[in-house]
Amino acid sequence: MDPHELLMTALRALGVYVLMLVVIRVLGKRTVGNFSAFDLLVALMLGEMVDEIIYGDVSIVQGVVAIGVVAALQYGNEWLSYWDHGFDAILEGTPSVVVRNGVFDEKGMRAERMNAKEVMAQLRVLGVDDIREVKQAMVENDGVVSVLKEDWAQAVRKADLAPERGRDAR
Amino acid sequence: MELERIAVRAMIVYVILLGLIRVSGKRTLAQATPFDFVLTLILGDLIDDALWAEVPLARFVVAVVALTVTHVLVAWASSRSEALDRLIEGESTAVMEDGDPLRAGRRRERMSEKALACEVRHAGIDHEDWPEVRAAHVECSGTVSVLRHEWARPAQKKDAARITR
Repeated sequence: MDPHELLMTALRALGVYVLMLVVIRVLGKRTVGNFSAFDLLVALMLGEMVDEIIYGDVSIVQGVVAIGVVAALQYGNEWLSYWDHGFDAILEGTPSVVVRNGVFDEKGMRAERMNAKEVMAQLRVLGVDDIREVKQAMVENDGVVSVLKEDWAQAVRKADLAPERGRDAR
Repeated sequence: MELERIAVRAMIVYVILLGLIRVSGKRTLAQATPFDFVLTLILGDLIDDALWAEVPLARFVVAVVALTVTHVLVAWASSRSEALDRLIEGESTAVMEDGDPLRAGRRRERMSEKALACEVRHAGIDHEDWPEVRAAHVECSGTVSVLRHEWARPAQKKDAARITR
């Protein structure tokens, strides 16, 4: 095995490491930490592009251009959804309500192609056994179900036990 | 056909990666930060070329070892230096305080108010109950932590003493 080629492989790996570190820092923590469906795809794309660079199948410059373009698009996408002018609904979708006031919401369930069993499974994951406790459950844009409980089903708060020491005394 | 060679290479690659991950420590690829996650993807991506013999095993080994060693060194250095840690991992960003969204923090994370509302819902808090929130942060891992005010936290056993008294 050609030692020069091995050394180049190691150096390219080092370069890719630094490049990806910069890209991730610029894109921000939430991009890759807290996936909406598309964020995950971007992370996969970035991760999938680098082997050709490390093994020298494409030049470093080509690699930087490809990664730069994907990162720039993602960066633009983040700002579009931040500004909240309707693009976010197109790019990221809108949450679907699957349970409302203790009753399944067929429309939202159809939108997410979820049956009653699947909804109940998601509720159980969050420790809810009785659907009547649920004021609203929805499939959020990150694909995870959020549950808001009816007032009577919420955990007793400290303020509920000692109202005089509650809100005003915080 | 060289099916048996592919099988052998798959086994070797498996053992090499297992060894590297064990040596570099649990936290390295625990996906504690977004970058850890991407690094895991990169390592996974390097494998296929070695499996299909598009690159010699020696180059695969050099590439994954170089990446892992760099990652361990960077992690070690940033555990020693706070400035380096800030540079590499960033800091947590406050995005809500006393129930009010913080614009500067949201801008920094490019987090719309809708996205923030979604994160707070994940903590089981509806829009009308936002005043219960003392602070919400985007942590370095990219997840959002939501802390309630003391009065809004679930009662603990010690609180029961107040009513049974």
